[in-house]
Amino acid sequence: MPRASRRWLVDTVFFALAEFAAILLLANSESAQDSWLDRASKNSMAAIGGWAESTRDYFTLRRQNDSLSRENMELSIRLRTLEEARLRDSVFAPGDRASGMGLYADDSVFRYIPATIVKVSRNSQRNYVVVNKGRADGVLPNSGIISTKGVVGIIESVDEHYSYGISLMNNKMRVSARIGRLGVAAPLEWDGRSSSSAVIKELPRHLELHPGDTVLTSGWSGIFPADIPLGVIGQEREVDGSVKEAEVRLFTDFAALRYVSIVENRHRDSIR
Amino acid sequence: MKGARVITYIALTGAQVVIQNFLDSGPWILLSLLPVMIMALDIRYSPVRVMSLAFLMAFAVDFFATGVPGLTIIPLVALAFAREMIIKLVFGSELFARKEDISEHKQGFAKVLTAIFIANLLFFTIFVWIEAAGARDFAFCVARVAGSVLVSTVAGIFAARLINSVEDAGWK
Repeated sequence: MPRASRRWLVDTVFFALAEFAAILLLANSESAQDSWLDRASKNSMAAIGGWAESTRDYFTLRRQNDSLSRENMELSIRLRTLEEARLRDSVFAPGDRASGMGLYADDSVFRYIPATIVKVSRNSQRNYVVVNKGRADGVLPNSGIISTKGVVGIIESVDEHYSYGISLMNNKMRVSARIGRLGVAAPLEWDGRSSSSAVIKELPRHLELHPGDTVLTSGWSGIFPADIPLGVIGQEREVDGSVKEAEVRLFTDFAALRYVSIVENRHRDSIR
Repeated sequence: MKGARVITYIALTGAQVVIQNFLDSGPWILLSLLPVMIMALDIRYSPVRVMSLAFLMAFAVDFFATGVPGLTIIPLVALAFAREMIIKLVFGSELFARKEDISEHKQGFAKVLTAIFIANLLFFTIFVWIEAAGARDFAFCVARVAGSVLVSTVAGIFAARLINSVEDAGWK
């Protein structure tokens, strides 16, 4: 065999082996989130993100303080409103979620763990979030991540002190959503184009949509409580002549995410 | 001189990790220096050696930045495999005969720009296709590739100049 041909054969075989190894790595990272390589990678990213976040924190303390004060005020108002509603309407037993209030602070089905975002990616089609709570804090995989403005993501893998989740801006993530509190339920997923919009799909063609209608979680997935606001309906379009989909302008600002809650369904084992 | 180049490559790989972790370029544009780093490797390196280096650099970026091992490796190794073909296409076979590295002041700005453009085009076409995983429409993918190639080619020119300046410094 001529030398050039032998060399070309060696190069091609090496290329095939290298690509095969890379494809195996990719396939494993998709299906076995708890593999040691995956965990090691997530740990290192959490450490890098944690360090960078601490540095950033130091320079943004004043702005965060203002934001927290505002959030505190909003929560106080909502709490007061809820207490007044309970006094007015005695059919609700203590511990029940007040209908129409959208509050879930003492919902006995879900448990909430406050957390801080350490890292959130926004440049990829497979964006992720890293939060500063892990196994030591009772976080479990497949728990939801929410903020005061809506759904953020789902926890995928958990380390001792950090958790890694796929964000709503990820082509693997779908949220079971509902248009209005009593409306049609349909899947919501990111459109891949903008960090502030998603698409609600598989809507019946005959359904009348009004721009500005609120989209909320349906609660059917068991991961997120029902009635968490996600966004508002924007433009709609027909797909394949049989269903329609609509743009949803999200409430969550992924560029400004900071304080979130990890929400765990206490009855998850019964649901599965 | 060789040690300085190694340090430059390690620094650029670190820079790529930082760019992917902290630069918010949005969903339409990806910035990567890896393709130009592969093209600027010593012309005497065999394809096997180039592919091995590509595997290592891409693995580091996947491990510390993307969080999806394999995502960057697949397109970068493919580019490393196609590197010789791209160089022969743009510069001709004499470069290998003369054992002359790619540089702007030896081969000219236009040819270097063309080579970097083709390298980025190959890299991002494969990367965007794998990343989309069938979940994104063709138009979006094309737009994403176009935006990424444009931005990375411009950045790649500066990265190539940096790599070559380290090489040229040895002759002073």
